[in-house]
Amino acid sequence: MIRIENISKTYQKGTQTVSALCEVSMDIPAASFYALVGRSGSGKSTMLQMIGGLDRPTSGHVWVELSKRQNLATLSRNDLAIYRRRHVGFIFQAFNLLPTLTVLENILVPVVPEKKQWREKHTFAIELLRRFELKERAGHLPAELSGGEQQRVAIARALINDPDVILADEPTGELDSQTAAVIEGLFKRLNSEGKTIILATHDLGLARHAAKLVHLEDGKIVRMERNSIATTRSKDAP
Amino acid sequence: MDTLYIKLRPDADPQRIESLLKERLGNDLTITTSSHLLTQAVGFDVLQKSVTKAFGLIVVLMVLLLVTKSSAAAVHERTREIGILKTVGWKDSEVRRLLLTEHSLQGLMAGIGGFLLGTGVAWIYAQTAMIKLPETLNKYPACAGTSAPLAVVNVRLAFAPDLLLAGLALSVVISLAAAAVAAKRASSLSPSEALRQL
Repeated sequence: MIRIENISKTYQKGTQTVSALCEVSMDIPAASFYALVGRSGSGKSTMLQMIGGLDRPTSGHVWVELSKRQNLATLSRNDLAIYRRRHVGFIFQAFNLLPTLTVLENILVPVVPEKKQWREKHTFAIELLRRFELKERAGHLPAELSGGEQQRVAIARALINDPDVILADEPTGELDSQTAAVIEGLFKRLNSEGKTIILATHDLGLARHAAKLVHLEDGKIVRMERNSIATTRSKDAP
Repeated sequence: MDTLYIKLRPDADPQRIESLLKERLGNDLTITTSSHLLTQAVGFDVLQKSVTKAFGLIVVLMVLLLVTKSSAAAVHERTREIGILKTVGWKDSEVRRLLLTEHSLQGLMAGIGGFLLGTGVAWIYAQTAMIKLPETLNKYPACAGTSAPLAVVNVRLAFAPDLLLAGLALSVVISLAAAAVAAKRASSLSPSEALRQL
């Protein structure tokens, strides 16, 4: 469960103060599928950053109830890093893979600092490669992969620590419609396995898979709606 | 006559002979004894070492400045990579450790490379160079049938393990010192800040 309480975020841009989020509140239950939708600059990426502990709100609280209840707004930098490592998987539009590392190495990047579980995680990474049909690509560099393959590698990397929450910022933005459909299917599958999925997108085609749509405009939530099609599908799922 | 060579008996005191000659012939002459030659040679040696040390220090400072500049540029170019590492949960200290380890290894490799290059150049120099000693160190009787034996000295290449270790340690220390500031700055960058620069 994630509870966002009156968060605001302002940035200093030269002499100007830019408000990216303005007193936003919402609850995101565990194992739910949310889509934050809105135009560019509406605050959806900032919202993802707050939930993912990449940044702190200027005011307000972000409560997460995982192994224990904690307020991300007051965690230390180290604790935020641990939170990101153990509980959150990030997926970006531009994939953000490390270009000099192979596919397998990229998937293992989040677990490098935790040497104790290395063997176990290595086995899991091989399992993820198999699951995402990337086993033949394990030794390739990102530049040698297609966009869809790179995004699958990014999803595998996000899953290596078996996180509770997957945050995806425009994950199909650089993919063709056919590849995007594959990635959308992966998100649905992960959600059905119990992962909380939160997408930020302006693509309503992708957002239709979410159970709840949160519309943002100028840093404020203007509308929240249940997605009846996705809910029905979710209920029908085996 | 402008030069007179005097060979003394082994038990003779050169300083006494020097003062006797000055008494007899006056002060309008230059007397050079073997001890003077030794003093001159030692003087050359001390001067040479001091100059070498001064040049060495200047080189170390210049290298430190250059490596600091290039390290800062190299770390700055990796802002994207650092942002990704922090996003996936690396702590500041883990990013810093990674950067410093990489830079110390680069320093070590550069040190080994420098040693090999320097040894190669020194070997070529030793094979080809002959040092002509100053005339004052090679006083030899004009009547002598042969030239002064020390007129030309061949350079010998000597391997100094302690110098090698010191050189390698210095290259690692310079790399670490140069990267320390850049690594600290990069590791303290917030992930969202780094992501904005992607």
